[in-house]
Amino acid sequence: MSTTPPNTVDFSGILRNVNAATPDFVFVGSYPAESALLIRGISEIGIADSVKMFGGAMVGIQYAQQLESLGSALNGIINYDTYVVAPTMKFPGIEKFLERYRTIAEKAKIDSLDHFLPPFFYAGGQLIAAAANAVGSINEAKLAEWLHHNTVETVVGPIKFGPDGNWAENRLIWAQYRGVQDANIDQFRGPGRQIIVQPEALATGTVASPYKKART
Amino acid sequence: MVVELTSNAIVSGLLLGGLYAVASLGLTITFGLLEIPNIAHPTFIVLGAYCARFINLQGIDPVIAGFIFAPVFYLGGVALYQVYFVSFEHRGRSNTLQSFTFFFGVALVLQVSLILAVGVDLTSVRAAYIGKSLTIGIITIPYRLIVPFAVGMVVGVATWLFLTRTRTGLAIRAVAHDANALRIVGLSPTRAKRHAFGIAMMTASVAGAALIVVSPVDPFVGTQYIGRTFAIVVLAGMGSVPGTLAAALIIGLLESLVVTFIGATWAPGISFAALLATLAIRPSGLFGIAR
Repeated sequence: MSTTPPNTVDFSGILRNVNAATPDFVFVGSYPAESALLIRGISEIGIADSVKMFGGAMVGIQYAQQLESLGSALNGIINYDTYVVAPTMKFPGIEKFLERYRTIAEKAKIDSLDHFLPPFFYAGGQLIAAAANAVGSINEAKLAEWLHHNTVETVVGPIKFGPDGNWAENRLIWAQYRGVQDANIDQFRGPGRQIIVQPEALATGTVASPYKKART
Repeated sequence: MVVELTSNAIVSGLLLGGLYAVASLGLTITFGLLEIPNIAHPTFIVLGAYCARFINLQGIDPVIAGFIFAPVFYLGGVALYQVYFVSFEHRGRSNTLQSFTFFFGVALVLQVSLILAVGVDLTSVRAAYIGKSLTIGIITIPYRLIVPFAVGMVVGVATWLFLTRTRTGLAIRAVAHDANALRIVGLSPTRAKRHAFGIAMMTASVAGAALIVVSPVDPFVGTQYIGRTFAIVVLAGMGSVPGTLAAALIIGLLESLVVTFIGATWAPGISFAALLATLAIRPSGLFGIAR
């Protein structure tokens, strides 16, 4: 395991150490700047043939600016996400929501891709609206009680909570970047650039491995 | 394997030192020569990075963009010094604490202005050499580091030549030693300082361009360079341009070796460890002259 401070600008030494260890898997937990620098570093330094999968919890690369900037360097990486355009995620209302959001986002000069967080925040609002309408109150205890025992249809699919307050079924998705081209954000507005490999219920493909081959 | 790791760590470290050098040059002039603690300098570097990004969107190389914006930064530096002069030096209030407060305020205003203007998201530039590398034997060198290194060395040498070979440069160095002596020979210390501040700010434009080539930036990234750049200036010996280049290369080299062989977590501490060790042995810094 290797940890890095937040102001690291050169990951070449770390990547060389990773390569020297000939790992099977490389799991990265990084913040936006480090995510971008690591991915750039792989293009520059290369990656060991032994690596079957690379990625994990890399924050930042879900956003439009980084997707556009990193482009083809993303190929092969498996990373967490919350929403990607895929046939298995075509839930009622999502397309209308994204269209509406995009118009507002472009005017406000904020992330124009709108996939990573906005649908889930909107779904949060749908949860509260559904619970409030059902119990006829905004009493938090009553809302929570209702939400614990009911499934709500939202723009990100049906949401149901388990006894511990977490989602009844894991809903975080793991997607592998495939066939991504440079400097083209519009390619992410359609399916095919992020293949969902987990959870199985939403999967649109299987993992392409080893990582070096998946990068091409 | 050890030879390969060591060789690459040395080369990467020296190249990284080039970025640190160009980032520290402005402080060498303002803090090292003029003794004005311009803590806002790294934030101006971030502004330079965003200016380079703006020009890069038109298809121009970010480093060229840094040079294009340099005259604008010069004028900004002149104006900033004038405000500082009227508010503090002219009234005899330019003690260290007040100067720090002033420039901290400037940095804060600039940072918030950047947030309002461009948002908080990371931004980067496009250039044909980013993401590619040069391989020589067992050494692989990212062009992303070669270009800022070259820029750092060129700007560093140009600054040194300016300060040592031109009358204006000599006046700037003289004002650092004895402003009254400068007045006696008929030169204005204020004018020399204003000019120096403008030149320091010019280096921020180029340093910003170099920074955004190396890594993506956001409006907050400047704060990460405050400690490192001040450490380099003091380690170099106050006001020494060759010392700044040498100190930056040493810090870059040490950081790279630490990242490779000890762990990246320890790397930020190396600037201050080297600073403390040097000052314990040589209080005036590597190239400094005891005053």
